[in-house]
Amino acid sequence: MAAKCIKNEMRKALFSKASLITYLLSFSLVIYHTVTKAEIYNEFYTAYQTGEVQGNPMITAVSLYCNWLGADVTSFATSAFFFLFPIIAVMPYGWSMAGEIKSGYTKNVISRIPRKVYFFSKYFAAFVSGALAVMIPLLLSFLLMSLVLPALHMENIYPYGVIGERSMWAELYYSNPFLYSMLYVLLDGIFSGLTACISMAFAFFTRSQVSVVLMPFFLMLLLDYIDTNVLPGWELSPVRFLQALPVVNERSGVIDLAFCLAFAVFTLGIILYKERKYEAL
Amino acid sequence: MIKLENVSKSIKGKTVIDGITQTFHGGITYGLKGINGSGKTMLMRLISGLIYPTAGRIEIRGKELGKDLSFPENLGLLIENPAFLDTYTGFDNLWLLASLNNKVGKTEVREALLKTGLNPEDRRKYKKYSLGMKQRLGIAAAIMEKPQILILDEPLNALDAEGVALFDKIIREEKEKGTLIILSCHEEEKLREYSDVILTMENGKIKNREEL
Repeated sequence: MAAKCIKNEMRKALFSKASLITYLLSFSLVIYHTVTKAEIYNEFYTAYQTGEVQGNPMITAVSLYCNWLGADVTSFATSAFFFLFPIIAVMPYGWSMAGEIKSGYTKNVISRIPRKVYFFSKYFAAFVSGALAVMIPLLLSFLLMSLVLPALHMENIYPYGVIGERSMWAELYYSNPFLYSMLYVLLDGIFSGLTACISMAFAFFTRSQVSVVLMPFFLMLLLDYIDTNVLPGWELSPVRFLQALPVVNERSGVIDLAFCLAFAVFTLGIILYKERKYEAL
Repeated sequence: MIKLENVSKSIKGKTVIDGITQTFHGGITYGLKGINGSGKTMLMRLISGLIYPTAGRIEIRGKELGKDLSFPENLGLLIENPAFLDTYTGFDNLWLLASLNNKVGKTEVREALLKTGLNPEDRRKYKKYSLGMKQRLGIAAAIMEKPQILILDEPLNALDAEGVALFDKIIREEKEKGTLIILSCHEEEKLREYSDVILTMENGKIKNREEL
């Protein structure tokens, strides 16, 4: 029963118009980013070949590892992607609980299977769809950029693409930047999945689907405001700590872990409570 | 058999069901009568396990709803407006629900659609359905798993004459099978035609029981 419910929810989550729109939006950003970076690299490479580049070319500045969508702190596409990531995570399926409660569809399901099975299947589908909606564009960007830019190992002697030695996975960044990048894709996926689950949990408290979609976005804006104006230096803002390269501060990873744990406890707590108390009014 | 013992339900401080004690037996059709807000739909929701009583207990074949059971097994349900997934066809919607507990296969789903006058091969999405077609799909969903308990809240809403005739036939068949049916209907003549027992509700209480 549970396997069938999960399968149904995954089918609803992955093969929907909302998923298609989300992927079109994020793939557009990936393509724009790739084309822009390819042009810049082409100009640099031409100048380098013709000897127009004077002094140290700081060649690692054009490395794949500091220019793919997840790590390029200077590009519009990266800023837009991480600014919009709560919406990208929620749009494929995070809103579905709100939709099904509002329409009355939940009655059809909870009169056939236990609430626990239904809610946890939906939680799983929301998590996976949210995670994939962020991981797939990031992986696509990494792949496309690897066709364009050289995968040079990073060096900490240049001012570009440098992270401090106390930053999370810093040693890995210099020794195995591929693994470092993939770990960030995974971290971003987990965080985005949990963001979609926040939306799902919030659906039990409002009937407005728009609020459910926008709530994580405003939560992230609030965290960004606190990070910028109240507690600077803590890297509290997911918009920043999900990017593979820190802009200003060193990053311990404790904040990332704390947020993931808090989101998981909060969302699972609500689901466990509602599994016993939910009423289809 | 469904047994309600002193069941009450309050929502936001307002009592919507007030100390109902009633037993529903298999093979009998119970018609719920009463003005809007008298508690008919809430009583159906309670019996279906969609909401929980604030006080009292509901037993279904000796098992307490909400404790031993999360929802009544073998239940067919249509409460208020039917609600399905907009982007799926009628058949796909029913199949998605039927596959949750694997009680019936695609053949039974097709049969249920045909009984309500819907075409199982119709590729139109649910959002393109008329109100009457949506209601028919709701009835098909309620009967497709051959339930032993059938709860129908205003099943004639939006049905045309052909739809009502098909519904009459469905009710006859369900009664012959010995299904316990609880239904409400604003057309008193129809309610009397379908029911063996009429329960009149008022202010969340059963005020009168009439055997036909």
